[in-house]
Amino acid sequence: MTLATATILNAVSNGYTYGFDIVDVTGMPGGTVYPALRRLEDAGFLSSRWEKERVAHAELRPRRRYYEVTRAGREALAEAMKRYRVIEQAPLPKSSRA
Amino acid sequence: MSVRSRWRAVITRPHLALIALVGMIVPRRLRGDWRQEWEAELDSRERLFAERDRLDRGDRLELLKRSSSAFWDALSLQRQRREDEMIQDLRFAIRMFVRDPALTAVAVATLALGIGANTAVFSFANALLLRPLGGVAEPDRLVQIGRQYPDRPYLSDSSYPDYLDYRAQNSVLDGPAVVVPTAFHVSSGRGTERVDGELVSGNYFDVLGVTAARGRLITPADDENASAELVAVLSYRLWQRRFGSDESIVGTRIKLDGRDVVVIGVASERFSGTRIGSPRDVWVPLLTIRQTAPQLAERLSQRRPSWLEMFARLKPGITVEQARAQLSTIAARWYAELPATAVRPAVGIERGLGRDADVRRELKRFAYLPFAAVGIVLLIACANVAGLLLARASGRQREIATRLALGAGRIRIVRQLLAESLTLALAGGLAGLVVGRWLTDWLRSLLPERYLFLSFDQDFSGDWRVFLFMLAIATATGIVFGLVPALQGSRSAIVPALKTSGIGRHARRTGVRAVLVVTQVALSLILLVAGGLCVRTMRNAATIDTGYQVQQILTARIDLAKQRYSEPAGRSFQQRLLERLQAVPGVDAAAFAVTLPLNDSRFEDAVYREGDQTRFQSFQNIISPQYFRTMSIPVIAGRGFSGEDDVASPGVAIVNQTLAARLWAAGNPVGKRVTVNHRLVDVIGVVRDIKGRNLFEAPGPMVYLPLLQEYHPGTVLHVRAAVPSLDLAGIVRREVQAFDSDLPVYAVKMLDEHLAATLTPQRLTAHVLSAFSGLALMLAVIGLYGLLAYTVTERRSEIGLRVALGAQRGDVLRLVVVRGMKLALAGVGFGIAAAMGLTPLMKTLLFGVGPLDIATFTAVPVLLLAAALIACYIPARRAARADPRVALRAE
Repeated sequence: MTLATATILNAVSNGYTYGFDIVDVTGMPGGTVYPALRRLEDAGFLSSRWEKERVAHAELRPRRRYYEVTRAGREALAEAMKRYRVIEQAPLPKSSRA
Repeated sequence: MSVRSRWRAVITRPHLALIALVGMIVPRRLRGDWRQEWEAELDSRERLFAERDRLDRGDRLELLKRSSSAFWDALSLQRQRREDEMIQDLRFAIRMFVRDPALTAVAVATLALGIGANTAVFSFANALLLRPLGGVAEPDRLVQIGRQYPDRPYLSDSSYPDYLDYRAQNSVLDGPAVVVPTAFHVSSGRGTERVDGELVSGNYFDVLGVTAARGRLITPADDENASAELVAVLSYRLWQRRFGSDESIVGTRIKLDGRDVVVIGVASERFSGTRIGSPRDVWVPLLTIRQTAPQLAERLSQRRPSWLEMFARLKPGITVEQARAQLSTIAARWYAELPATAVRPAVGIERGLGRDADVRRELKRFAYLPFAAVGIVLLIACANVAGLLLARASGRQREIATRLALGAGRIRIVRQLLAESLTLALAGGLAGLVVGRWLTDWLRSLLPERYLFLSFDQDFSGDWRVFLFMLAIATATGIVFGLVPALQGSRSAIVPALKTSGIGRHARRTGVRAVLVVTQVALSLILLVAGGLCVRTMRNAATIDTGYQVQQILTARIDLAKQRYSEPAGRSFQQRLLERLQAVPGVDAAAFAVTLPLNDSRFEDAVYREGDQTRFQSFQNIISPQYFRTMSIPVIAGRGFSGEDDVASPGVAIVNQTLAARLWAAGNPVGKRVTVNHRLVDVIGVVRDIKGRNLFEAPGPMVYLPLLQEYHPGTVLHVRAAVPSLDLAGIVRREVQAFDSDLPVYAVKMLDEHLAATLTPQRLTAHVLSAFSGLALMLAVIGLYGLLAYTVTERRSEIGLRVALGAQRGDVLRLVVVRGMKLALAGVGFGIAAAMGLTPLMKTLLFGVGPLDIATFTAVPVLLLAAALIACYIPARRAARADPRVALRAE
């Protein structure tokens, strides 16, 4: 797992659960974040669900896709944390918006 | 949304317009989700900017920049697009084949035969030449080491001092270890049996990386302390077969060659020694010979004798060249001490432990022919299926033209058609695995138990290599037979194809199919000629006069030395056994000989005329008095051996015609004297020549010595029955058991089985080639029939017109038959030319027939043309019978 992918996985595990939030907190471009999210989902480290239509409609915005770290993802993240100490040294702020 | 408002949206929110644009390259299946996710991202960002500073120009630029990064995301999904298209192609291909089950069945069956034949032959090559030694760790790092003499194309064995020096002084190998193949007589309460085994150095199992299934394996300590208690390791299969997988085997005492030995362990199930095709069942420390074979043990201190097979494991990262360089430096140290005239062989190191170089060479000599045969069968199958697909492509011209008209690229169409042929090939390949299994069993049934030093008691079933081979040839086959129809099919001119058909539309495709048919006929002719030559060779071999009787003679080996018989006891046993056997009703004669005729391992030594130092190399056999009578070998001059020619009488010998002629070109040899085995003996008779090493060589010089004067404990018993139905094997076993219930009788076989075994390569090639050439003929004839049947259908209106205009049925019949036979004749012509170029390559396999044998080169084309005529006649008759009204109405 690359450092960028591990950072994205770490962000999701810290409660940043949809694209915009993750792009925001990691500071990476969407062109990096979205393909990484898809790869993590293909690898079984993340699962995703679409937000209910009426919720998005009530807030007058497009639907969001929410991501969640799976058990395999948590194990992979723990491994990656050991490898990339830098993630541990500069943890992401815990999200309160999930 | 009106055009105006859409333009307004593009201008006010260009970032969303960009997402919509980029989204077009995202696979359709994912596009909806992809757009929503990006729109949500940009919408949130837009809101954030708007909350902060009312969305100024900089923010809009930032949004545009962010939306452009969606392009990279969309690009990352292109792999999925290709996968989607592949699945689509595959689905479409399967649908097409399901819709046309007859064509699919014929094509899959044809391919299954072609691929199956190849898989079967490959299964043999895999087991005999490719599969590495089983049960050892990292077999690719194991190497054989030996003496490389300049005049020998193989590695010679080494000496014990060579082994000790290499082991002590090298830093590039694990080992080496040494091994001597030998036989053991195993006794353990349930009688005695003879098994193959090995005397091994203490590090043998260590270097190989073999594990123990029970107990432990031999260690260096066992070898060094070999003088203490004798120990042995058993093979898993011997433990299962003889000891019924007895869990208390470790520590059990058994008898090996009549001595008490403790079983210390059982080797892992997959390990059966260091020679593939010759499984071993017992391993004993090499230095045991100090106790059991003191004469052999003398060699342990000698540098010269070549008697130990040596192997080692290359240390990680070490190449064969590096190892050879270091061992050569070590050898140079002892070479320096040798006299100047001594031979100094180079150090030879070869990868691939497990196969004898000469067996491998012999196998390769014969392997190319079956491979060539099945390769040709596969090519014919490809041509056949390509013909079928071309015919089908004609029927699909409108469909393809429609797809081209709707914007599909030519590459896309070619890919689709190739996907279809690959799907077909894969289905054919999977069915081919089943056909291959049947063919493997059939081929196995043609093989004897052993040929040369190779046992065919092996696992010829498929493994991952066979599966990969099948996949590779199925893919190659799919491309070969699919490419021409795909390129032809995709070349449809849209407008004419979409219009109704006209006469001559399919001319080009029929031309390609005609070329395919000519190729098939030519290829099958090559195979038929090769098969015909091999069958004639087999016929000729069956009529070769061996010089002795072959039927109703049983041969069986008896080894008295392994049962520790003293010479007087052995002599007495041999004499009494022959007496008892000759007294059995129905037994005509019985005799001992040291070697079998038609056997590679024969004694060869020098013979000298009395008072003359000229050396005459001759084969040698040691026989009991009744041998010539048992084998019906006529004594031409003098007499045969009698019971009186024993140790108390003067030494005697009998020579064959060839040796007699070489020793004394003229005059009677009887009464002359020769030196054989350092003894001067009287020649008392001359016997007729018999075939020696193989049936195809002229008999060599042979000298016979009496067993009563030259005692030999290991002999072959020859027993001749008066009637064919006599159970000779049962009689021999019973009589031997009556004397010594512990003495194994082994290699029990009728003499004609030996003869048949020596013809294994010829018989195998004859069977394989005739079977596969028959298959090839069938496929080629089907191809020809298919083309003509198709042409007749395509030209039905033209034929109808001809008949309506007054053509007779005979004219129509001639029209179709002539077209077909022209193709067949062209194929036969090309085939004869190619066969004449190729058959000289199989000269070494032929006997009594030339590679350009006129009879074969005449009979095969006649057979092929006759078959072609039938293939032409059936569609021709159908065309001639067609009602012109129906044909014209259809148009």
